[in-house]
Parts: sequence; C-alpha cells; structure tokens
Amino acid sequence: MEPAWVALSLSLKVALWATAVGGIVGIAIGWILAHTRFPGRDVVDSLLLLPMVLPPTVLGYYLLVLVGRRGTIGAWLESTFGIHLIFTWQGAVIAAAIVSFPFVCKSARAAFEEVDPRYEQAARVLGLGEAAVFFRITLPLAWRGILAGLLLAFTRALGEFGATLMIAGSIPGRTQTLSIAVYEAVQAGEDALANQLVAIISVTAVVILVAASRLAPARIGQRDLGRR
Amino acid sequence: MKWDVRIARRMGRGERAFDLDVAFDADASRLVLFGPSGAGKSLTLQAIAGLLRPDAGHVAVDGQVVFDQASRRNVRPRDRHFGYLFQDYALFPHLTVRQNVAFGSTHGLTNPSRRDDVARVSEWLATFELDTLADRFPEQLSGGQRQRTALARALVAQPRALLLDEPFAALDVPLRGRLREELLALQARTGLPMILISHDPVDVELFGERVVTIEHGRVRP
Repeated sequence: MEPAWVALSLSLKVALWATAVGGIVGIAIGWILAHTRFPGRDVVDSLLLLPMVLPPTVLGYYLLVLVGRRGTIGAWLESTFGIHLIFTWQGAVIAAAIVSFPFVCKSARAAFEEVDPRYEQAARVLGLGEAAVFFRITLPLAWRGILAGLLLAFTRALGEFGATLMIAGSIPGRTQTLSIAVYEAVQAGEDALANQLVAIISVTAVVILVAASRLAPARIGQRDLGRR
Repeated sequence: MKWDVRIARRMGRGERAFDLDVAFDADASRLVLFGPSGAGKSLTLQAIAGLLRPDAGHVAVDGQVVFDQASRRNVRPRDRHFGYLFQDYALFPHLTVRQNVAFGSTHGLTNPSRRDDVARVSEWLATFELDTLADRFPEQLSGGQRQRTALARALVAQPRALLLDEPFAALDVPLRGRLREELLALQARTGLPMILISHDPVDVELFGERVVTIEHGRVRP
C-alpha cells in the first residue's frame, strides 16, 4: 500500500477507537453532569474543557508522566499486565481520546438536559428501572445531539498531532498518523506526498462537518410538551 | 380505595419558597383534588406516585405504606403500581401510538417493536378507537387522541389506581364533555379507583365521590 493510505487507515483506526473510548466516557460524564447536583459540579465542568484549551504537547507531557514506563499508571500497567503504551498505536488512541472526549461530554450534557424529565418519570411510573429508562427514553431522545458531538470528537481525533507525537512518536506504518505524516513529508521536502495527504484529510473533515451540522440538536424531546 | 396522605414538602428557597402541607383521609373510588392552579395539587399527586419525595409525613394506600419518612420507607414509583396521566400526557415522542401503549408491558432495556402484537395492547387500542392510528407518532395526533393514548398506556401496565393530573385541561370544550363521559364509563366498567386533579367545578360534580379542596398548599377544612 502507498504510504498515504497506510497513514490514512492508521488514522481512521486510531480515531475510531478514540471516539469509542471517549464516547462512552463522555456520555457517562455528560449524563452525570445533567442529572446530578454535587458541590464543585461547575468546577468539574470547567476542568473537562482543559483538554480543549491546553496545548496538545502539554497534554502529551502529562500523559508521558502518567503512563510512561516510570509513570504511576504506566509502571502499574507494565508490572501487572506487561502493557507498554509509549510508541504504540494504543498510546495514540489514549492521546486522541483525551483531546476529543470533551466534545462528546459537552454535547451529551446539553442533549440530556433537553430531554423533558417528565418522559423519564412517565417511564418510571410504568414500571421501568433506571437502566431501562436510560436506554429506552433518555438515550433515544438525546441521541441526535450526542451523535453530533461524536462526529466532532472523531474529527478532532483524526486531526490529533501534538499529544500523539509526544506519546506514540512517528513510526511509519505503526504510529505515524496522517497529520503526523504531513509534517514529516514537509520536513523531508516531499511536496507531492504532502499535497496528497492534505487533500485526503481535508475532504474527510469537510464530509464529517457537513454530517454533524445536519444533526443539529434534536427538538423532538420537547416538541409536544409546553413549559411547566 | 383508602387513601391516607399526610405530606409536607418545601419547594424552592427564600421568599419564593412554597410550603406544601397536605393531609387527608379518604375512602373513595373517585376522589377529586380540587383547587386553583398553583395550589399544590400536582405536587400532592406526584408525592402519591413517588415522583416527589416529601420532607416529612406518610402515604398509605389501602393500608399499605408506600412512603413514611419516620421509618425511611419510600417505595419506588415503579413498585407502586399506579397509572399516571400527566397534564400534557407526556407521550414518548420517539415511539408510535402502539409502542407508547405497549410501553409498560415490557420492563427490559429495549422498547416494544412497532410490529409487536400483544393482546392486551390491541384490546386497549380498540377500546379507545386507536387501532387505525397505531402507527402514528404523538405529534400527529389531536388532543383527544393523545389523551386516549395516554390512558391506554397507563391501563396496559395494569395499575391498581389511576392518578389523573388535569386530564381535560388541554382539550377544547366540546371534546372535554365527551372524554369526561368516556372516563366515567371506563371507571364504572372497570371499577378502577382514581384520583383526579381539577380546577373545574364540572369535574367535581361528575367525579367527586369525595372532594378534597387544596388552597395555598393546604387542605381547606
């Protein structure tokens, strides 16, 4: 396979995994923020934005400190499971998941808060437990909003550069994602390759953004209920 | 059915706080909670259903305690087995009429399918003349059809009593009269006990085997 397609497929693999991991975490945190009141909730809400505002290299550095061979989590992972994350595509997944999950978190929280609580109450009165209420009422009504967040997270994960480079490096075919390959191609003066890579990633991003904008926050969750 | 309700709950804080302090005993199959809007009728009904936790007091139905602050007993709404009709019916907007009606017939993690054909569901759909509308979504229904769907949804779950929050307020006047008669006939046929909230004296006249008047969060003696 041509290097550009190798890099694209690796990028897609990393971004898909990162979106899956970040999606589950983001949906869970979004639900907690929308449904519970606890002291310091606003602080937590702001802290969750940190991955969006911190330079990715700073996040990468934090990650190195945590999951590197001598990091707290990294040392434990190595001694317990024999897992190394540094310079692996799984490490790149962690980096991409961390920078992208706030998108899911934000949109999931907003989408969950849009769901009229009376639907959930009606379901409880009809005999459903909390898990069933979530999967049969809350999630289906919030789904479009969450999906928009997931698509943004996927795009962000696809474009991730700094934190990924810090933690996974740039090993062609193993950890060299598209965005890193662009940098390497420019550095090496391979303009034709760089052009090709840039075109691929631009088209992918545009397609995803158009899809995301079509999924504007759903109003279906409150359409037939007046204000209380 | 014997209702023994004695509940207190403070809503909000400071100057805008609202104190609900309602107590009544009633032995009736048709009980009307009557009073102006904002008096605390809905809060009372929510507390009976388990959707609002009182700060103090108790709720007992036919001698069975479903809430008692002193002994920290608070039966979950799903285990109280009441049918609840919300003011604007709260039909699930992502489900068809049939799925809405069938909702309480299964308690698992997935909704009943659009083609599910449970006998109990079809019977109630037929009773309320909803069979031709079974594949529509709530937003495609008229007010009266929504109310019937909500009633059928509550009845399929086989409740021991119906709690109705202003069931006719969202309907225009001619329809109101018809649906009142339907509900009365249903009650007479099934014998299902009900509590009905209303600010309309006509409902008191028709449904009030026993009437509890609530004003400013308290029962008027």
